[in-house]
Amino acid sequence: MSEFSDLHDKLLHAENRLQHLETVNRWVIDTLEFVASLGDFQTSMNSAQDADAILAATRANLRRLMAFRTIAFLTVSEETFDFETQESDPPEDRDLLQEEIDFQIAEGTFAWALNQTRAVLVPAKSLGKTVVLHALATRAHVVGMFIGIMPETGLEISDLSLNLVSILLFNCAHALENSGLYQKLNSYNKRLEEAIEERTLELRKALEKANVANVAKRQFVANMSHEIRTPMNGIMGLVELLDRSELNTDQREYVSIIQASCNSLLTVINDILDFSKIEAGKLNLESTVISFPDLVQQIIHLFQSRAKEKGLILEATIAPDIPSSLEGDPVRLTQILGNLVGNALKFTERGGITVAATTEAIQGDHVLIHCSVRDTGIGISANTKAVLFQPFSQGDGSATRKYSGTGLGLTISRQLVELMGGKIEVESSVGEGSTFWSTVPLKRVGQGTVEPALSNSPVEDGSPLAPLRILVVEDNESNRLVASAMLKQLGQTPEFATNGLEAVEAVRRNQYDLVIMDCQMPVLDGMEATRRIRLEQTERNPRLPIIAMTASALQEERTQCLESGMDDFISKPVMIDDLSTALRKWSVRADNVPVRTVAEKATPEDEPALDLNRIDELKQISPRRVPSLVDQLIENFLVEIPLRLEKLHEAVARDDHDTMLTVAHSIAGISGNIGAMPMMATARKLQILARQEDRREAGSLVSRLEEEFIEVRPLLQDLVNSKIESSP
Amino acid sequence: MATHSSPRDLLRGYVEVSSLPMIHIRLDEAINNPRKSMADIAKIIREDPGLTARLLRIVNSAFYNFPSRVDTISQAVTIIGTQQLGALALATSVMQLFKGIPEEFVSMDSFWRHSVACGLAARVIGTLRREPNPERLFVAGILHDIGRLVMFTKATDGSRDAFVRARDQDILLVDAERDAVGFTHAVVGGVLLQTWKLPGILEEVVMFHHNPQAATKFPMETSIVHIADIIAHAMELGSSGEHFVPPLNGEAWERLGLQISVLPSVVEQVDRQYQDAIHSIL
Repeated sequence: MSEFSDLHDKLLHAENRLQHLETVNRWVIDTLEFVASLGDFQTSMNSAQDADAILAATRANLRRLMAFRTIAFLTVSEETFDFETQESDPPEDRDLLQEEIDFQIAEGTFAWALNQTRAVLVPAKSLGKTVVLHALATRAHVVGMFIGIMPETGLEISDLSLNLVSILLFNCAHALENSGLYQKLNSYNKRLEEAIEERTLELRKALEKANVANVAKRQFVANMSHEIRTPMNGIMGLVELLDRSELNTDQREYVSIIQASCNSLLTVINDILDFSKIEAGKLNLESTVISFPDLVQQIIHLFQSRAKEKGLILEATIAPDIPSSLEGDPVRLTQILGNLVGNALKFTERGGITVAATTEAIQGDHVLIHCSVRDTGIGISANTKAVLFQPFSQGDGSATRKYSGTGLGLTISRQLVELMGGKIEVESSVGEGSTFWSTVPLKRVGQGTVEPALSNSPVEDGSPLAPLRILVVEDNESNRLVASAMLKQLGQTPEFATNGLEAVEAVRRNQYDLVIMDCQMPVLDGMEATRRIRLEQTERNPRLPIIAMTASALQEERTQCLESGMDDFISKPVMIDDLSTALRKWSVRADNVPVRTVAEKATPEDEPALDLNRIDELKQISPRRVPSLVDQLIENFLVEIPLRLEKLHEAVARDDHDTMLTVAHSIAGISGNIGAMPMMATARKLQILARQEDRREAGSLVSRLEEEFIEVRPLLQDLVNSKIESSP
Repeated sequence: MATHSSPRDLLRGYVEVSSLPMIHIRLDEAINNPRKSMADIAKIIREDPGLTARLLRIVNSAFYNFPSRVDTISQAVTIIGTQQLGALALATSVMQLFKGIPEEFVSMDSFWRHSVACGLAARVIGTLRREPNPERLFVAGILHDIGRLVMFTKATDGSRDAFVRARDQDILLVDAERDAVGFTHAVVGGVLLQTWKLPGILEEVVMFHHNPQAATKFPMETSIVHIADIIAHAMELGSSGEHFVPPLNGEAWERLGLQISVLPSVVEQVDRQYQDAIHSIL
């Protein structure tokens, strides 16, 4: 019986055991399923980037595990390191929850639980309830605290459930930390981007500022150059006039010193302007056909007198294999070579300077020209050589500099040579002299005419100009004075306009032979004035030559002048020779009835009716022209004068002074052109008379013109006839 | 000289320690039973008034530093946790088990002091690393040299020989054991815990605490106890018979991932908890 009861007990035990194992097994399966589902939890937490989403997911899973009444998380604030209570679930338990938290903090359990790695169950403030505290922590950091309120004592909870809670919260803490790091990274990135943007903006602003400053600087340099040139124009012009006046020896010396000073000042201004243009990348090279040998010869010619003054020999050897026609910028090439020769002259006291030009190589359609300037001067030390081509440096940098100059010449030369694709170098030994040489590639030209390297050098015959009706448009009073004085010296009595608008009106009213126009003027500038004048021109109105006077050495402005319809330009300060050249050039080209370059003299009684020298000059001006200029002029003269004389008679009879004036003007021009000086003088007198109130003598002057015409006619007819006879 | 073929042979003749007190088997079963709540576990502990008193002493000591007084085991279970309390109970029970063994080689007081010091250091390091169950490390530390007690009792001659060798040759006792007995206390301890069907983690930690690189399943915990043993030696808190500080395994230290600068704090915490822990456990 006891055996049976023993067996029964054993069976009962086994049954219990089985039941227990089944329960455990079910629990294990449930747990495994729960743990497996944590995979999703993990994934969703990894993808959740904000703390709220992570906490919500954790909350949901916690509720699956345990019968919490209230759940809340406290997170550690980044800024204050304080615990901040996130929203309570359910929200209406918020006050109750806060009460519990405060209580647990006061009890010390809150802090204690933070250091534990598992759930800590402590009695709640409100009796019969349990508070579950669990640190939200990774191995490295505490990121917060979980607090859950259970409606009972908590002793009914199994330890394994609490283990799962730990796993959940450990994952949650990691997710929060990751999210924090992710957000930190994001905010760092954003801050970095903002910082970069800010810096970029600052840099852009700085760049803009720098650009504005640069533009302002360039503008300033250009303006200064203009502002300096304008008074310089006055000074130099007046000095030149002074030089031509009667002076004693001392005065003449002073004048020449002033002139030399002005010239060096002008060089300095030009250097600075060139330098700033090159620095700004604004210097454009021209490309025209040039003759390099001619260019060298002209430079030798230019400096010959200075060499002679110092007792130096200045010579050039030009290799015959240099092609006669090459393409290049004649002005800049002259500047470079001129600078080298000028320097050599400056630093040499004995001996001489030799300029040598050879062909170094032929590269495709380019010829590499090697040009050296050798002097027997003071030479250059090795130290100096190193800084020689640097801006503002000069061999002698000491305070008591023996040699003048900006120290920009060689810098500009080197920059120009490099712009041309060449190089410039120096060999030197102190006391023995220096050799500067540069190689410049110049494009070869198949054929075509070679323009002289220095343009505007027409035949200087030195003969006086015929009187022209010239309008000078210039706003600056001293410049007007200079122009007036110079033109007077050239036998001209100009009229003036002080701005472009006055000029346009003057041209509309009067028939000018030539306009000399300043470029920069108030009201209406020279370019715009020219444009308007050209617009108003009609075919019957012969093209009026307009010559710009420009203080600007800028190529752009010269181009603008030509584009606006101007014919030529002369640089300020205006030199009397330049003015004379321009007048001769443009009075010739003015229209199809050119060349008025004949003297206006006091017409003494014994003056010949025809100036034969003038006829010879005319023959030289354009010898290749067919029919010759002379012939055309004579023919014109013989046909036109009788017609005009007739007109004059009529005008006198009607006392029509306007017609009188125009016709007399044209007779003066036509006569002057071919050298009929007495006739021209009489016509001029008539012109003057026509402007006067009392024109009683007009009739007799017309008669005198007729007489003089009769005298000169046969002489001219003879000239034409002899020409026909002598022609083959 | 009596030699033994294996640790298992050694244990076979040691009936007194062949199994753990029944309460631990019951505790273990209850902790792992999902149907058993914390209240059930508290009830089991309460059946042993001695254990209850010891546990409440520990829970209220500086060892835990809990802000308010814990008066009941039910409270202790919710605050400390069941597994943790189970581990503490195991530690104290094992000490009871070896009470009264001959003190020819070391005094039991000195032996347990070293063991507790090692357990404290292991627990502090575990807490620093926020290991999930620092109490288990505490137990592992307390048990790490348990094999030596078996050897003192059941391989007395070999133990004596080992002590002589260690002293005469200036070598580590653990190395002398290998020469004199044929195996070390670590292996004996590991096998003992295996016999007791304790969790594998304790077995491995004890088995390899002198050569942590050999631990395959629980290298972290083994490394922690290895370092803790060295700290306990260095602090000269008690002695298990070893005269030298065991050599440090660099790999084990690396594994912990701790800065050297935390060591003073570890030592300071061990020092603070030591007296209290000794009083409550021994």
